[in-house]
Amino acid sequence: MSAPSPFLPGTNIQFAWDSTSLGYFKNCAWLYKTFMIDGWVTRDESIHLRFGIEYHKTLEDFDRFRAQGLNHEDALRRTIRGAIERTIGWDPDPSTKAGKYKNRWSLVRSCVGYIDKFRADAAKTHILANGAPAVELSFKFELDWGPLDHIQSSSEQRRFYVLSGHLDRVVRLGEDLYVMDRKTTTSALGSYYFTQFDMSGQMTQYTLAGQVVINSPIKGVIIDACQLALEKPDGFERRITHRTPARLTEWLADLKVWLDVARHYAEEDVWPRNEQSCDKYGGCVMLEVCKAAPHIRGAILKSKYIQLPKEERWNPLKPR
Amino acid sequence: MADTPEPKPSDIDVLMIENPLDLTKENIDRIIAYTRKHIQMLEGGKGKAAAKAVDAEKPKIDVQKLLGAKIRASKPDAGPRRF
Repeated sequence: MSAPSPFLPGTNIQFAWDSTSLGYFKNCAWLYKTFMIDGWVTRDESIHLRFGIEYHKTLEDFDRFRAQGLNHEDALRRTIRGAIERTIGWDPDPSTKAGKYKNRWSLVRSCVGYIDKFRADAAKTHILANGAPAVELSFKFELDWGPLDHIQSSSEQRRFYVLSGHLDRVVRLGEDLYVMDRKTTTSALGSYYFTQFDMSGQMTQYTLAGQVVINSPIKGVIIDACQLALEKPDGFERRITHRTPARLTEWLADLKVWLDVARHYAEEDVWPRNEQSCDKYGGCVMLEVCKAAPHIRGAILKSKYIQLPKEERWNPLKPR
Repeated sequence: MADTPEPKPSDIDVLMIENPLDLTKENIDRIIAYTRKHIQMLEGGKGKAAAKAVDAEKPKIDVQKLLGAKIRASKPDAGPRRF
């Protein structure tokens, strides 16, 4: 069954938001529109995406097997078997940077490395009230305002904004609960890398969502990062980014403004570029398009990017 | 002698039956051992040459070939990478 659209019917007004779509919008409205509404992605994007999905799934399997009582080696064996089976036929182009770093071999290698590195992990998977381990939790909850509040006050047909997403894992570390999020990167895992998460809206949203899902205070997010390497061992680092209740409240207040802006852009069909973001994350994936003359941008998109069919585009309401 | 019920196959066994590569538990153990040794050699600072030496001691199943095997096409979901 296909997921419902995150947009109000017949409009480009998005009512269901996850951290990915919100991150795109905050970075650059034009990038958001090109990706979320028009469905253009780079060819490398599918490699990053597939690797990310498999990396998360593999580690999630391990957490689940461990929570079910399997010992380390048995859980690892079942986990790696699953990873190998799921990725049969996945053959990323090794001539691309993405394919060089992200492939079946690096998936198995990085997951075995991660699992062994955190073998005696102080962070323990939280067990939910229903007895299930708090692993790969999908969340979806309504906010108390909606995209049409400025023109519609009837509570009967009122559509509220929805926040959705997936939490890798909720863990207990000492007396406190944290969301755990796993990242892969080819960047060095120094302070420069981790600083980006101090103000990360994704981490704020995860903290907020964790509190809703678990119904208990969450202190913040533990980031387990893996630096994928070619001729040296993969690196693994863990850092915590904290969020206070005051910061969560502040983030929600800001969110209201951001979503108002997004609605306004959609209503007016204007998508201004934010050139301050073009050099972020090693350079925006659409830089080649934006720096070209406007009349040839369409041709560049068609020749170097892929336009996904509507049902395959990023959708915050798509279940995992 | 009383009938002994058939042992219930573990999930691993089921997976093994369903696995088109027909990997055995020992095969998986070898892959993990190979991976660990590869990581250890790299951690030992011996770099690519050492990794090649590990390759020379590869398990009976060819891990690289196995991981590069093209048995059936699989299609990724669409979407972006995470921020």
